Amino acid sequence: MERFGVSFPQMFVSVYTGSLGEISNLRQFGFWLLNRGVFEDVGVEKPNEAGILIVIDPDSKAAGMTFGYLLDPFFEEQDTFDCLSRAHAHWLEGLYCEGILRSLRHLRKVLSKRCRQVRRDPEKYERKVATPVAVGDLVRKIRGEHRPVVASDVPKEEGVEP
Amino acid sequence: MKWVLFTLLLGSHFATAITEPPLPLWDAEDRKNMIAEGWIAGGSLFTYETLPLEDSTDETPLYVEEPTAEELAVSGEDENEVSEEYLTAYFADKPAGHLVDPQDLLSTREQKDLEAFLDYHAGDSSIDMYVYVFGADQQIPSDVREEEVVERLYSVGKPAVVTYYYLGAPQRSTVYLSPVITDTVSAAEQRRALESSVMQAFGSAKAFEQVEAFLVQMSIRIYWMDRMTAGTAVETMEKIPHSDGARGFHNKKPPVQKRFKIPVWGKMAAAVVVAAGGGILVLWSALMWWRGRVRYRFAEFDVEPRLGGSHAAGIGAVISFASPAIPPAMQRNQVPDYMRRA
Repeated sequence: MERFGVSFPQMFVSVYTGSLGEISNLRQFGFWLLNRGVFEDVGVEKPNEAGILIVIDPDSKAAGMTFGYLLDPFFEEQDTFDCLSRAHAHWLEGLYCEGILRSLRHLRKVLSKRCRQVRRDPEKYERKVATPVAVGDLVRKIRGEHRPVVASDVPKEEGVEP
Repeated sequence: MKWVLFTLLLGSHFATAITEPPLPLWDAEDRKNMIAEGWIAGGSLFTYETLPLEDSTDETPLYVEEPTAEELAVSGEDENEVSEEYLTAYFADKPAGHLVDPQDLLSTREQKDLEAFLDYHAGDSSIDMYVYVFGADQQIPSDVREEEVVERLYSVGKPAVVTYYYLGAPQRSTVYLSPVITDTVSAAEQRRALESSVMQAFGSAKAFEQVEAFLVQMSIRIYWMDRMTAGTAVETMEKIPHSDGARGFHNKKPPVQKRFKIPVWGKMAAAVVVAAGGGILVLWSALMWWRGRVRYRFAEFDVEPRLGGSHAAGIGAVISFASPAIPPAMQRNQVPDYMRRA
């Protein structure tokens, strides 16, 4: 996890392992913990927006992944599923540490690849998080750019008289 | 009455028979005269006088002269020792041929046969074989040290195996190696080589056939010693069969097998493969080093907060690992629609 933080200086990874008890929704718990939690061993230069949280519940035998707003444009739900799937075989046998390592290894691979893609085409990822344009503004824009058709602009058709 | 007289006579006769006859007695004067003259035969036995005890202290020790140095030298000589006239021919210089027989214990034809075989061996092996022939019961003089001879004559030049062979008594044979190959071929291996050669020699009763068999087996053993010195022998000499059936003394089959030589193109191909492998290894190491040092930084875009989360709303996947029979894709809990980005 430290090496991950070295390779990705903006981010950090944390793992929560424990029984969630009555909290049956793993996603809700991850969402709450990453928004409200304070990670003491993480520097102040790395806010929770740059965090990736893996929650493992050994009792209910379920695991989930939550990430902050920094990764929002670059990380998708499919990527998190791929990372967790790498650990599935280990977690089935109760080998949580090995599973986490496998998962982090794949996470590093995905993020490094995505970083290169972002460098090549940053607009593509920026568009994913850009604020959608309101419908009224869009109509106004279309009307503003519209100009009436002048007669001279119409091409004369030289028709053939029957 | 007759019976009474007969009984009395018989009893008196028995009485006289039981009593021992008295010893003859010397007349005192006669005895003195005889003693004065010198000696009386049985005088000490035929007498009632007790014998006087011999006084051992009166005996004087016998004095025997110690042997002189010359007598010792003469008595130390063994008549079976190799005569001094041959010692120079045997041990003075390195022999010109591989067979050393100045006593002509072998006939001329036998010497030629053995010389031919030893020359053939020398031409085919990197280790020469020298054979010193002695008589069956001959002794090498004690002032000649075989090891010293080998060290003195065979330290320089082509390595050699020197055999002191006793014609008709192969079990007395000894083998010495040049100092160059002594370290490579252990003493145990040398002993085994000698033993197997002696066993081969005992397969025949004739002296010349024995030496033939001995040398053929020793030649085979030297071939393996040659391989050991070259570092290519993969098996010890213990595992070597005692003789190769196809090879004999008279057919002059080479005792050395042809080594497998890698062709030039093979060496070049191997060099290319090794170089390519090394290059790939270097490149991979450099890549790993570079990947360890590279830092990935993402562009920071303004993201509109969602779901009331001030820091995060990236709800990822959830998988269950409750059942090993179901793949993770089947245990995947889909993200509800209301949690997805609009």
